[in-house]
Amino acid sequence: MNKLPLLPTSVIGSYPRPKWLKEAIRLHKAGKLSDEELQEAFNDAVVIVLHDHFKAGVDVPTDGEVRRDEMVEFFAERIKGFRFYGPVRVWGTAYYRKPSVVSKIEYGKPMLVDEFNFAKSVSYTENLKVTITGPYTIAEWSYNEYYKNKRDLVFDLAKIINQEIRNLTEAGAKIIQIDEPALHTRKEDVKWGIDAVNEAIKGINAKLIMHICYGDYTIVAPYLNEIKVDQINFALKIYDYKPLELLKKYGYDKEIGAGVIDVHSKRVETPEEVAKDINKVLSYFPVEKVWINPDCGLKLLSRKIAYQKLLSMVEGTKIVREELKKKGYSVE
Amino acid sequence: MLVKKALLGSFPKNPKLGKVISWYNTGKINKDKLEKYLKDNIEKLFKLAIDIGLEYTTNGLFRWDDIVDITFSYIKGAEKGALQRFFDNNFYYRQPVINNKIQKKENSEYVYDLEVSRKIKDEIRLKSKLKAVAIGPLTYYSLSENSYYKNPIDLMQDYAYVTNSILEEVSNYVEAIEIHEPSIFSKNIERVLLEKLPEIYKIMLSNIKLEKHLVTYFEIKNMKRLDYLFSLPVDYFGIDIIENIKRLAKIYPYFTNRKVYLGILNARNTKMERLSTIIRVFKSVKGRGASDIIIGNNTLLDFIPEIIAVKKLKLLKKLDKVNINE
Repeated sequence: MNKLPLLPTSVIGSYPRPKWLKEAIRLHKAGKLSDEELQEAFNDAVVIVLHDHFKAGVDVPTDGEVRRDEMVEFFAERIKGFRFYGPVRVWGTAYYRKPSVVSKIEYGKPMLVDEFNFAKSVSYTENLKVTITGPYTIAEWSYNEYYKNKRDLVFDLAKIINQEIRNLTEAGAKIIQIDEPALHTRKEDVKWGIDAVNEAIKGINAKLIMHICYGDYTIVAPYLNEIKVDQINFALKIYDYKPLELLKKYGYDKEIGAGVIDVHSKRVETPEEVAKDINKVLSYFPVEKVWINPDCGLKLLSRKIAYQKLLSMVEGTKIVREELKKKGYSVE
Repeated sequence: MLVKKALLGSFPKNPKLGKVISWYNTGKINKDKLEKYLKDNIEKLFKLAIDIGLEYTTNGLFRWDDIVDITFSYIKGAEKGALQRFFDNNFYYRQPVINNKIQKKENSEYVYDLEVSRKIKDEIRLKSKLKAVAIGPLTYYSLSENSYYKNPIDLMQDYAYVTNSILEEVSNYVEAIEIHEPSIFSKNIERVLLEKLPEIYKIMLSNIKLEKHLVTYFEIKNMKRLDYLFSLPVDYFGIDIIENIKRLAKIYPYFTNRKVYLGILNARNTKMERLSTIIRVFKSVKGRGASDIIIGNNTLLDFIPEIIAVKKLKLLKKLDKVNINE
């Protein structure tokens, strides 16, 4: 990993697909575009996403997850044992194809290595982050028709995710984010769910980050320090930073990725607003332990708004860096 | 005698309709086009109800994001807040943020929604009784962020008055109301609120001449709450059989001499139920002296793909060929 400035800025993962990519996917589904042509379109989209991240000034970008329709669906399509019946709604008019586990799950072949290798080849920085959905979330957001209980399914998935993360580190991935937005769904599952996440990242030599977002943080807060990652990023903006008090209460002591952008609102935060919010976070955490990111992936926004939000996030961070500089911090 | 079958709550909104709603919300199509799509979907659902022989159906709630969303159409004093997880599902709703006294909005779209549905029902001669869906006062309170009321009982009472008024308005279009009160089994509900519920329900249901179906869903973690549930002034009591299959022995005594709704189709898993299990549960409940039994899905069908929802509901049709009442 290359040296990062104080308050590194990052994204959670997904970024809006360019309109022409959506059209390319549609044509491919209709048999009017070859697999090779679709791959070319995906690659071109990655270049564009990284260009947007570069222009906005994001320190730790991703490839925008442009190849993934959805964070569980993508993996379920590639792991043996899943079946799809059709889309289900998550909220409003947002859908995903929720998979069903119909037989014992098995690792097929590498799922993310090709996409990581391409992103790395066109990235403007070595500090490229790659995201992977965690075992608990894959299980929780699937239907279980086969396993006797969810726990068995989650631990089988942990082995598969561990294999994939190993493949990524062998390919050179240095920053890996495990997405576990479902981890705090059920209080009774949290402790063993964290054990499963720790199994999934066992023996991995990389900077490990975990992403948790919407829901009841009180369920998971007491156990956060047990997760063997370097950093956890949270949706905070949408909750007006109230969870900071909770994290303090439980003595959370890892790095925090602070969500300062509401990805469910089209309103673009101003840099001043972002700066004010970051200062709020800094009243709870030492600056060396804080990264700045949106609450969640940006894919549901228009590309224009997503970009403007990233720009505000970076500009707001710069305001705070300047303030810190005046206080004697080395911000570069 | 045929088994009474019902559709509870919302039916999966197909992605095409989802797209149409998005187009309407972003001004890409006009209201007429949206209404046409909504009408087509309601009609399709009603035809399914005819095919299965449902005794009761809702209109699928296609116009709404979720059951909480309906309340924004008739309540003043609450604004749409952050997305929140709907209980333990990967399904999210906009949290009502109550920052003013709860009052009734005039010309609610909910009334219009049911008026339109009634017309469709009459046009296609659907015999099923149409249910209006309302969220219960306790669940409304527990799913909201309250920054106005000092006492939650006042919040629930105001909600009950407003809901009573809207139920009166929709009475011309429906034959029954379906009240969703899953929070009655939630943790951290103060006892004083549970004790006050019968009184609040009396306000909410005052002068409502329709059949009143109270439905609950998800796991019952505190069996003592059943006393509160069965003390409420309604006609039918709904229990999620799927999530409480191991607790049925403790629930059965409450069914004696009561009309009950059994949520026996799992709306949270794609795995198909066995007809034999449905029959076994039905017979057990009947044997316990329930005065009337309706069966259907255990919770909102939004949680499974449309194709599976249809398949599961059609499973109920097979009960017509079985002498389940012997």
